Amino acid sequence: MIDEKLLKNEELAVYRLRELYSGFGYTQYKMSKFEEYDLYVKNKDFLISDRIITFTDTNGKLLALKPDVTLSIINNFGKDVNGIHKMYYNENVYRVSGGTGKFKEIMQTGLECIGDIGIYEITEVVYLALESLKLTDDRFTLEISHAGLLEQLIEDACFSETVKEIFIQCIKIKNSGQFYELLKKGEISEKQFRLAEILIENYTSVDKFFEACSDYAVSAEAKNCLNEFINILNSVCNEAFEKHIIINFSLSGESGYYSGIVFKGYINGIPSSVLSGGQYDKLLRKLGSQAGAVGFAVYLDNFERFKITPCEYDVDTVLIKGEGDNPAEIFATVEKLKAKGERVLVLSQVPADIRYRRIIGRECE
Amino acid sequence: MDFINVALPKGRLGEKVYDIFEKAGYECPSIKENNRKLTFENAEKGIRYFWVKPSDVAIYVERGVADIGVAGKDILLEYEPDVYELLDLNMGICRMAVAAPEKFRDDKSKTLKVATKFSNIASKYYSGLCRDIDIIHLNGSIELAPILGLSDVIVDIVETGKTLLENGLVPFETIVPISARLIANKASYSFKMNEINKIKLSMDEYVRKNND
Repeated sequence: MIDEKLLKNEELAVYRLRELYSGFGYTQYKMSKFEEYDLYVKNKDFLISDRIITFTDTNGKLLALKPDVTLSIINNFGKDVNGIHKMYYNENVYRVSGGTGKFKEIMQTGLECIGDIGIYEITEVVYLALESLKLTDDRFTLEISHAGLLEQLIEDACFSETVKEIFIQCIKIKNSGQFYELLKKGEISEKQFRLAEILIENYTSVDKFFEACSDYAVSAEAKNCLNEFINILNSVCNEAFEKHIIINFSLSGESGYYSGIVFKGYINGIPSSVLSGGQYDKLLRKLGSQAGAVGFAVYLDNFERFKITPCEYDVDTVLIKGEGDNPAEIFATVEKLKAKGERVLVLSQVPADIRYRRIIGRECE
Repeated sequence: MDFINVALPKGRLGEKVYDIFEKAGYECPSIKENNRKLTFENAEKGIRYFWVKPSDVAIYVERGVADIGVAGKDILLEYEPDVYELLDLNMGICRMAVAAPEKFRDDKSKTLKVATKFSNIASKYYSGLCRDIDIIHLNGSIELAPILGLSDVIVDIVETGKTLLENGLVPFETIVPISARLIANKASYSFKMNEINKIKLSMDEYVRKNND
């Protein structure tokens, strides 16, 4: 039996998430810490940062400490994927931290579903993302968007190339101001401006989003994407989750590899996203595979400072041993105290930098 | 009750921004008391303000200590924090410009020496022009650099151009217009969307009224 009180936040999260993912038939995927640098150079856009720790192997090959897990999984799977493969991982990755600009080791857990995926698999992954967040805290949100739908809506709205860039940027930072300037100058139509306003807004109701967006999905491709998106949302918006789902198109522009749904999870009290994922078929096409893929990662480093109840003591009991004490007898005393649920530290002197509830000599027990 | 934490830039701009918050119904009278306190709250309105160095506002917001804040577009372009930029407040208007001594002519056969506090903005601007430059990062008194021959030009914020003129410099090109922006932390926006949007709408209304 694992005593959950002893686990750190991130360890507890890993423990619970493993249980959740294996319950849905996902098997653990273990990989090497290193990967050929070439893989990351060719797919830089997929990575959060293109700064990677590299070193030369004994055979002269340039290797990298993994900055990302998904790329390695796909690469190790090869081009020919038959059927559907579901796997989860728990690995350390090495990335530059946004705040300090220095490299940092980040513990990451996540899952990937690769192969002949359809609407069920996508919905299952979104559901598992919601369950993953719920396991951590009650106050969470999953922001969700559809990269394919956004792309088609932009196509259908017939923006010029320059305006398209501004449009995507405005949606990403939720600022219609610049777009409003273009409207005032007559460079875009009222309808195009309205589309920007619709996509900048966040929606907590699927129906309200559909109502606002459906007039703009003109082409068959846009309609297909919209139907798929609504179908997924309606499947996961049950009683437990409907209040936690937010439709937010500001997510879509973050990576060119996403082709379908894109999502990010937040937990109240943690200032950045703790979960991120989506359907990334475009990455597989680039790597020469015709398969589809959907997955997400949970960034466990963000859990470190979350809801920590400061522990008053480092140990319950400090047991001061005498010089001639018999080790077997000391062990017996420690075992006896441990059986009562105490944490015991054996030392020969009173410690200066340890917080303890009580201090005893062995003869006291 | 969840407070909305607001990072205000210390100084004249911050005071003007607070006035907009006050007019929008988020007053906190203690902020106007003459003391050295840095945090102020109005529990009834659920709002907490803190004064921070203008260039640090984006850090407080990105790190989630502040849910929203007011930062200059120059800071947002230079440090590219991962935040939402909800509104252009049309205040603190100025521009990021290239300035140089009046007689300066760009010799394109040589690497251009550029002194600036805004290395990222300057690099991006000149890389867009395919111009080879040498960035000299300075933390203040940028105008001094071309006078003493440290650089050929400077990239800096120009408001009235008076400081430049007094140092024998003239603005040559505008890189980007600058103004104060209302920014929000992405996670905070996810949980406090309604309250933040209410503040944004009130501020938007005020800004539009003042610009018409």
